[in-house]
Amino acid sequence: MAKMIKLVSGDGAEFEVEEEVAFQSKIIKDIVADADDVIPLPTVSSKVLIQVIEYCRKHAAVNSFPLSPSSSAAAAASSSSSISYSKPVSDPALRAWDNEFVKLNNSSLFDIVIAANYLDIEELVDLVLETVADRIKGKQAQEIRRQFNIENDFTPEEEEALRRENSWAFQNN
Amino acid sequence: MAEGSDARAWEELIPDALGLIFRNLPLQEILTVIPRVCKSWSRVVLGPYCWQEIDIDEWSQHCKPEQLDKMLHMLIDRSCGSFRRLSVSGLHTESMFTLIADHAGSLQRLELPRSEMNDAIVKLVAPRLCNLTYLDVSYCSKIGACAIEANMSGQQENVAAPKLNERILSSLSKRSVDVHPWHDLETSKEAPLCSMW
Repeated sequence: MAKMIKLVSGDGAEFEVEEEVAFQSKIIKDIVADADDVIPLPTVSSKVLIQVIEYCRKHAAVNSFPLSPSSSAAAAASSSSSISYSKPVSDPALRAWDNEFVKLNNSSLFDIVIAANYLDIEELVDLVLETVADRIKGKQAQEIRRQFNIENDFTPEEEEALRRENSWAFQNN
Repeated sequence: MAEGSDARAWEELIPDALGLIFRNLPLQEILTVIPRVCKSWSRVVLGPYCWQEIDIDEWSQHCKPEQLDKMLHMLIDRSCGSFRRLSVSGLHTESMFTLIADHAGSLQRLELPRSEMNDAIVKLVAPRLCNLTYLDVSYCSKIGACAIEANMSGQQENVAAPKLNERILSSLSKRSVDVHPWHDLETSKEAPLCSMW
């Protein structure tokens, strides 16, 4: 019988998950080491916690039973290098699952990355930030503001000055 | 937790998270679009979180020499010396190499393909690249065996260069062969005599 950990969301919902799933979060792993099996997460809503648990469940399953020797070898190799490069997930099926997982609106991604950062789930943080970068790529400033509900706090003069500031570097294009 | 509103404070996301988002973007976007979105994003692009890894290899293949100098100064400055990786091609003055060496306290991975690095510069710069674990000098036609071997023979005063080679050579054993750049040097007639190269 797998050991179960109870996670309690900010709005009081309780979730029982297998230890290996919960341990995708380094924070939870450390807390449980101090013999605490009920973990309150006041800053994480149940909606977000459900999504995070789904991610952890999928990744715990893959980490326990790597599909091929090469994917676990690649994971071992990447963990021994001193810099971690993006895209540590080498298993194509898992990568495809991740890509489906992040087909969420920006608000949901924001909430997930905040929670994943709080829980110290590095791969999930990287995944969301990469996804957000892909949504920013190729867009103009005004489009980005609209998509992410960001207020333009520049004066027209400031914005014009910024437009010119680094244009020297790209005038050959 | 308030979930009613659909807006999230993207502009207030912690700087290192924003830096991680931005560094995946093309150089032109980081420097000309992102700063114009809002003030806090502009601040992130000015600061070190965006520039832990400086990859201007593609850009540097099309720029003018004075632009390369300016860009290198600007980005190394913004990183506050905390950059762990630098990828740039076409470096051609000693001052550019010493600029890198002067700020290489955190540098682990250095990629300088197609640079004008010669043996004298290697000897000058190598001692200061203390944390280097990966070096790409492919297509640097002016580096020869003597830069490496002369240092290994112990005749030179600085002994840090052989240590650099040992670190490079030992790190090779941890990496799969198809990702290291020495294949290029192996086929060149200037390839150093050391078999690992």
